[in-house]
Amino acid sequence: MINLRAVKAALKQQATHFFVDPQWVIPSIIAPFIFTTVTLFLFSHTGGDLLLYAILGGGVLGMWGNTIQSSSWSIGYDRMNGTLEAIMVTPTSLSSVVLGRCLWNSFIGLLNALAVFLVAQFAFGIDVTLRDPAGFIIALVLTLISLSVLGMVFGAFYVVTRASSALFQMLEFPVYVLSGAVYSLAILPEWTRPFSYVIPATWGAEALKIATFTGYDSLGIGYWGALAILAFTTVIFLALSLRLFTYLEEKAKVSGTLVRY
Amino acid sequence: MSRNYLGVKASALVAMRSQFAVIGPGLWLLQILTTTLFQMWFFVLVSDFADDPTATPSYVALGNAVASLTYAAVYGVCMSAGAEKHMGTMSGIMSTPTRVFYVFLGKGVYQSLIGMFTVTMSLLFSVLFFGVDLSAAEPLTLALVLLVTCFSMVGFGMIIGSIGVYVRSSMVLGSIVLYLGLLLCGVNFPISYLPDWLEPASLVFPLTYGVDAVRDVATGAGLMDVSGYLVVMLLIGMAFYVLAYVLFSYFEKLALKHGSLDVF
Repeated sequence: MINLRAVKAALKQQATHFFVDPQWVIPSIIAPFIFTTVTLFLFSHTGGDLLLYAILGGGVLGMWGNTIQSSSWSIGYDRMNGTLEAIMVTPTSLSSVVLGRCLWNSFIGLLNALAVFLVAQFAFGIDVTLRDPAGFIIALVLTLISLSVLGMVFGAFYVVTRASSALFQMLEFPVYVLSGAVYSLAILPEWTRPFSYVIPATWGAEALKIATFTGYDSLGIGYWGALAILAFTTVIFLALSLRLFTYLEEKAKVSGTLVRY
Repeated sequence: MSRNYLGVKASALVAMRSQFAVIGPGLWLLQILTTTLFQMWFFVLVSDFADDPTATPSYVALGNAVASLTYAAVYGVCMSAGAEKHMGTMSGIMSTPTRVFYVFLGKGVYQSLIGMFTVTMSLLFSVLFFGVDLSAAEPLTLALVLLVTCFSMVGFGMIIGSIGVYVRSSMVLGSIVLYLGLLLCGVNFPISYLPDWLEPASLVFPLTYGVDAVRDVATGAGLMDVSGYLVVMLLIGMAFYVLAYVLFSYFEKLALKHGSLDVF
């Protein structure tokens, strides 16, 4: 089960790590930053709402980029530093520790949204106005939590294998493509839709767009519909990650490979 | 001379063996191909959505196919110093009779092979999935352009890698140059879209000339038509290697003086 005190402590520890050496956020958010800046250039000829698409999408891509890179690596670093065994013998569940770290990493991924916003403001002179600021903030917080939970799912595999970094770093760009964060889902081929629908980022991006643009509702489910599906997929992934942690922790203890890297 | 040659050869072989020390060839291949394909797909979808008459999906796909060289030729090379530090093997490398420049040149040779493989696969993806038409391209001219681009980009990677001998990690720098080309080198849109003050920066990157040359070859240009690009890339590339040699010597001395070889 999730221990909120441990989540808070892990979040605090991850924040301290970040402030001690903030340069490490660059490798995690450089890809989403460049991707969204290129998108801004490509959309600049069209202008209007498309530029806002890029800024909003940039926030989602940044959160995901930092989550998949930093969060999935968080256990990898413990393995390399020899601290994984120590974490696993504490009474707190490993999943709570990883969730706290993931929450911080997703939050810091928002730096990408800030960077893209600054580029948009100064290089393209875009004014960002939100139709429903309160709805936007709620959607943003829920998206952040959902991406953190998704990061947990992948983080669990690091307990059993040192090769998972290669496997899960492959998932950064597919989510950029399938979530439709910077464009409409309608331009994706029909056969990819089921993949898009199981990614929480898709529904988070949809809710953020609905809260920003007047009359936007590309999937016809409305703001609350998008939030409900976002919450549902988050709960499913949370349950999956908890099961995975229990199973994989047990497996790692039996195989005795915790400090192998 | 022969010692340096042996150093380059040994380093290339070690780089090849260590590539699969943690992840197997299958997973490595999957990682390279998936990353390349999805990066290309992302920008193709963005250009499709933007409906820009110049930066069409096939324009973007071809640019990204060439840019896939960066992962091995620039990022792979400049990450080497950081990886050696992380594993605690940098001091060992520096105590061998071979100059550190040649050790990293060997890594560059190996990464060039990986880069050529990646770009070949990416071009194949661009043709199969994203409507790029290479039917007018002369295969030998295309191969030569890609080889020269790769040569030049490895030189660029070595310059960044030399800094990694001294600084705590080359990963931050490496990750910046890995993606910067997508923005500055005419990969996804013509460089004329960039602000005036940023355009000159694109001329420093060999990728800019490589992408332009491949676009010309794709429309039927022959070897003589793209010889200008080839000469520029060769000159820039050679200048990069000379500069990298100087920088490796400089940062090697600096790292020894400050005892930063094992700091990461």
